Amino acid sequence: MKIETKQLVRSYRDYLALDDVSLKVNEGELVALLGPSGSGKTTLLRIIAGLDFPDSGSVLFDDRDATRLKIQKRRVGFVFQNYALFRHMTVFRNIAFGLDVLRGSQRPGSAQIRHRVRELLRLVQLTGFENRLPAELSGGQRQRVALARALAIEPRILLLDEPFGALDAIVRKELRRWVKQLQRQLSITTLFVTHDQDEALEMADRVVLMNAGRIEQIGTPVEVCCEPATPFVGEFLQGHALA
Amino acid sequence: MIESRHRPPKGRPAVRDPWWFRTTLLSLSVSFLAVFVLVPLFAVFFEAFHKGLGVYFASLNDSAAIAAIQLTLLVAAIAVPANLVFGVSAAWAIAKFHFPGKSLLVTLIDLPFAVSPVVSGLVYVLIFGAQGWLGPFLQEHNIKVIFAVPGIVLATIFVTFPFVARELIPLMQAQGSEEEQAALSLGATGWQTFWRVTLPNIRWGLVYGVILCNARAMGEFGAVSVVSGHIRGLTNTIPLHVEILYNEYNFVAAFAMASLLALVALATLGIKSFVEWRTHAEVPAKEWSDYA
Repeated sequence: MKIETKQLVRSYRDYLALDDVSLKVNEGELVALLGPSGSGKTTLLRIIAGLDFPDSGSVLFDDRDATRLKIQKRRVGFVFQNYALFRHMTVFRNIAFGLDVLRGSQRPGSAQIRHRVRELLRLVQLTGFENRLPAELSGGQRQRVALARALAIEPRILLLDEPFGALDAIVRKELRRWVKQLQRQLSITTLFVTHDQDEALEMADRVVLMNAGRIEQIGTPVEVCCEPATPFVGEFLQGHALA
Repeated sequence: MIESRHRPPKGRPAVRDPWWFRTTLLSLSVSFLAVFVLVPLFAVFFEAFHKGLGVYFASLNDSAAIAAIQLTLLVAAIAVPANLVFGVSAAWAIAKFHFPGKSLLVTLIDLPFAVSPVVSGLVYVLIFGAQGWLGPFLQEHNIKVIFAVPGIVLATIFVTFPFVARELIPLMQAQGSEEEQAALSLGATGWQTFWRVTLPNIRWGLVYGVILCNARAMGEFGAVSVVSGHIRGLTNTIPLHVEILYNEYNFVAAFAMASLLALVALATLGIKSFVEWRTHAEVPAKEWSDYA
């Protein structure tokens, strides 16, 4: 699905978190929202998800206005920075949650749910972990459960908030490559927030550089590295060559 | 290396108090506990039973005693659920929303802890009593609040309302609302999110708050005493009935009634330790911090 935002403005009291942000994301694209903390990247992601709403401006999904659409109706897969797994539920119940809460004829039978969860567990390479609680998993495993849970509802877009922020360096590198590969395989439109320059340059098809609530530059990793549009971009990416 | 120079001698922890200090502290707390808690508890059961089981059960089988037990159960059965609903809503609002006057609400929740129970009872007399603000209106419509069951229920609700809310607020604040947001993003309705995510996460805190609330609701004396009117067989709860029997020098009956409250206290402590054990067993302390 295509995503478009038009002139989004969002302020919290006297603090302007987003200042006229317009952005287009193409079908199947993997886009990084990159910037220092407080640059508005997470706010933008949350508005696209429907976890927050803009003061003005609009969000379009496939050219249709979705600005005021409730989060339940958006069918976005959202992976939280700290994963926000349901701590009292097993891995199985976590992943099945999005199917469990469907009502009436939409809700698949329990055999079907079991089949779907197995499939997802295989996809995120966690077969055999069905009955573990989140507290019994490592950081990287939790992250993959969160991803499987988000994918269970067959989302139209995937939104990841600092997906590797809570992981150690080695796991992070591994998961980066794996997530990119998975995204290719599913060819699902994906946005992820990061403050890590290398992560954005290595993974993304296009990078959106943000600073102080504004977009500084949008471009492929090569473009933002070789032809920085503003002094901020040049400075922020200094010393981070393409891998 | 600096570390190695400061390393404590082998086999002895860095912080370790001398034996006499530990023994003094320990014996001090044990004897304090014995004098102020164990001896009175023993005395209650001793007095209740010292004329034999027959007298004990006979004094509980008295019609006024049965009425007091029924009234206490009725009051708790209304006050505890009311405060359960109130406590969960208040804790939810405080932990998960931002709104003006939030700190005022937190302070108000603590008010019953700060105010003397007798004063809380008097407030209701001032509002609902014959000479009170609503007195004439209530008399016209023939509604009795003071010196009747509704007044006892109101006073009990007032005195016990901090328990559930107090227990849940820090718990819900620590848990944040990300799990709820995740549930919503997965298509759950607000109601489903509450029943499937919020409630299971706070269930042990809730049980804990409810049993403390219940223990206080059954044992409250001061506030209830002011509004009850002490009408035998009608508006006496267990604690009030204990006082009456005691003042009539009917010690065995008084202590028999008191033993019921002591049993409630023991049961409360039992459930409380069980809940504490469960919460620790469920998620090890270390995991909480890195999962939060």
